[in-house]
Amino acid sequence: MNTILTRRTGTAGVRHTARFSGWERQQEIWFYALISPWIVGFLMFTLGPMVASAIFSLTQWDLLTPAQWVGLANFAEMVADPLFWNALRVTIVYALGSVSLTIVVAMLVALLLNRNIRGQQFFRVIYYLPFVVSGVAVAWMWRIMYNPEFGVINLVLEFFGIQGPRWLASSAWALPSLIIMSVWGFGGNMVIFLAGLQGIPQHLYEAADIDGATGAAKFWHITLPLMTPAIFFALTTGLIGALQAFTTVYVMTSGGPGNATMVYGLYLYNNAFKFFKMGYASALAWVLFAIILIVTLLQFKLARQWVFYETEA
Amino acid sequence: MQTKNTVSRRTFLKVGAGVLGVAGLAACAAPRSAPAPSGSESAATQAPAQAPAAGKTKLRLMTWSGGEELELHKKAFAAFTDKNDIDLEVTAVPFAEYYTKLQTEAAGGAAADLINIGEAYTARWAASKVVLDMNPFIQSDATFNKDDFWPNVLENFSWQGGIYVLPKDYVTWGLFYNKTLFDEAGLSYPDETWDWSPEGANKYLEAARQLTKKEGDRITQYGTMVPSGWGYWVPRIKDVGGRYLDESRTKCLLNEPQNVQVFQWMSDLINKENVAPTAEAQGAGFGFNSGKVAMMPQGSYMVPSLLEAQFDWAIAPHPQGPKGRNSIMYSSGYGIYAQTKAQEAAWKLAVHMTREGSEILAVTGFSIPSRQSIANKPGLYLNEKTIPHNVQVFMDASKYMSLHEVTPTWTQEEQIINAEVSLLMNGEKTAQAALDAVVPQINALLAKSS
Repeated sequence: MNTILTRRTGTAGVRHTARFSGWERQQEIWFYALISPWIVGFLMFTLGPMVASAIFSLTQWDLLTPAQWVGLANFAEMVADPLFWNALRVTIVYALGSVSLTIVVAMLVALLLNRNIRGQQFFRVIYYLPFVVSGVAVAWMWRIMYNPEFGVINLVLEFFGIQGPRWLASSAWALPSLIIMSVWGFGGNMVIFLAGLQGIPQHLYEAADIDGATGAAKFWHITLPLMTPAIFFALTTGLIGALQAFTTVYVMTSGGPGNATMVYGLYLYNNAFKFFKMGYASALAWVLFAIILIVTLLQFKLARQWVFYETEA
Repeated sequence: MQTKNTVSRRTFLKVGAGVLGVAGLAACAAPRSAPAPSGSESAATQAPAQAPAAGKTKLRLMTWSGGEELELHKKAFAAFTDKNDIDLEVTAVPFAEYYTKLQTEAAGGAAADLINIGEAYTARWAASKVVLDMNPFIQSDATFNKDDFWPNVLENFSWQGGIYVLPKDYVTWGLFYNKTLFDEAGLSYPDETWDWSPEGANKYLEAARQLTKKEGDRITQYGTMVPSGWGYWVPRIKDVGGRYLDESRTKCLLNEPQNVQVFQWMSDLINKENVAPTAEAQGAGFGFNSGKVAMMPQGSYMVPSLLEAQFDWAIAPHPQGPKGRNSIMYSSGYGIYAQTKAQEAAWKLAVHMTREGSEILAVTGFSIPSRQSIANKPGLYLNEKTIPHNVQVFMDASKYMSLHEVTPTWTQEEQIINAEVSLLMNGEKTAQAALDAVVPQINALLAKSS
């Protein structure tokens, strides 16, 4: 049967090219014409600036006076710059904390919402909403909630007799505060996990039931393994996003107190647009790009050890 | 006003604009002077100084004023545009992002025709040829009268023999105090006999203690504000005989003993004496303008926002330190964009802002006009509305005011200082530790840039 199919399409293909070559050319022209807005956009706003910033990273440039070629001096400066290492450390802690916590919470909520309970649809919307409502407004709201003396978080803690920390005003708590806040957007992962949960074939659970498996055993041996592709997706995209954190940090702490929350993106921004060190900022950007690339490649490599695709079984 | 972390939608538009600006630079290497295709709609919005067919001159002006301050300035501009056939567009950007915006616009060859610039930044924009030398204009204008300006005010805006910004006004600092709260506490008002000192008894601290009120263990009213910005601490270290940089401006002196003592005292007012609100308490509404803090060292630009206050208030000179009395002086004005197509109109508006324009600002007590003849006009800066609040203090401050010692890397120095000072002011670090961390960083920066 396979052979028949192949032969058929093959024949059709040959006839098609022979008789409609003019038409196909036209198709091709239309294809490029229709995607040209994207191509032009990509060349102008992505590839162009990328090439430019790669060149800038080898210069010293303040935007106004002519750039000076400095070779790899910017990269050498980075190695000796304690604030660069600080930014890297802060960013890695933030990314690991934020991504892992978000995934755990999203998974727990997805498991809860996957049950046949009343108002299931309603709860899904409620939990998903914060993911849609984000950005500056939410950051401001959290800032108010974190206020040590008048914010709702410490008022609640006080009710239970706990003396809350100073949150954003303390260099020890500022970064954990931002990590906790980032969990706010777990709804995006939750939806993916929910879809994943509903894709798990019911007969696997039925078989496990017959074998007398407990709930925990079913989770560890059926649910979790079959969810690994979804978790892998959340982990990869989450880390890429978290390593580029900027907006909320800029709004909430501007990197303070001290440099306790000076994430990489903010340090880069300050160098570019506050100190006007475009060359150094471009070099920082390329190092971040390299870090994200390596982390992502590493994840794909490691994925073979733990990500399980049902179709491969 | 200066410590607030103002973030707006504009910030993000600006970040975007900045990125696009760089992108645009990189992608289209065509010079901006290339003629825009005629009939193109976007050309009209891009070109800053295009004369429309109607013959009305179009001008764009960029400023960091916001809120009431911006409305006030718009009134001052309107006094000019109403009389002249000029269409003025005002671009307002919060101060925290102001010079960033200017930098990206100038890099894109599309800065505003008139640019608000403070004296500390004049050299930077003059050296990079973003603004024009105004000397040719000044020389060709017989009525300009250079000698009318306060001594040194024009010089503050000069660079290598040229004058690059026309100053409209200047601002000095004093001690704002809430008369209502002083009356309630039965205290006499601050006057020129008041002193402050980082050690020992002094009238300022004594009053601050008596004006701080508690209900249970919760503070409901604070004695004073402690600003953490340089406008406050620069004069304070001068008050004890210290300074920020050495004569050659190559060495930072902040961790010298008398300076350390001043910074420790600032932190102690908040964390030990508990007479001043923390940053968090300020965020929760403890401010002078809300009537919950009795004293506030600040600049005259706070006056307009207080004119409608529900409480009675006035200004005294900032208490005298062990080695004298000091105030910072800020001054600002307008520079003409080097690539503007409306030089003449821009020049006229800049001059207007040193005359009628500055009068409109001065009436509200906002700032002191840069021209002596205007500042001294009866009923102008000192008028029936401002005299009861004793704004005379800001004029008298000319005897002890001074400029900040600014280097080309000041923005970066400020960032270094603010990061450590935030750990000092929240009580996590001692002044010694914080300033010991600041000094080597600044010295390294100064060594690299010189």
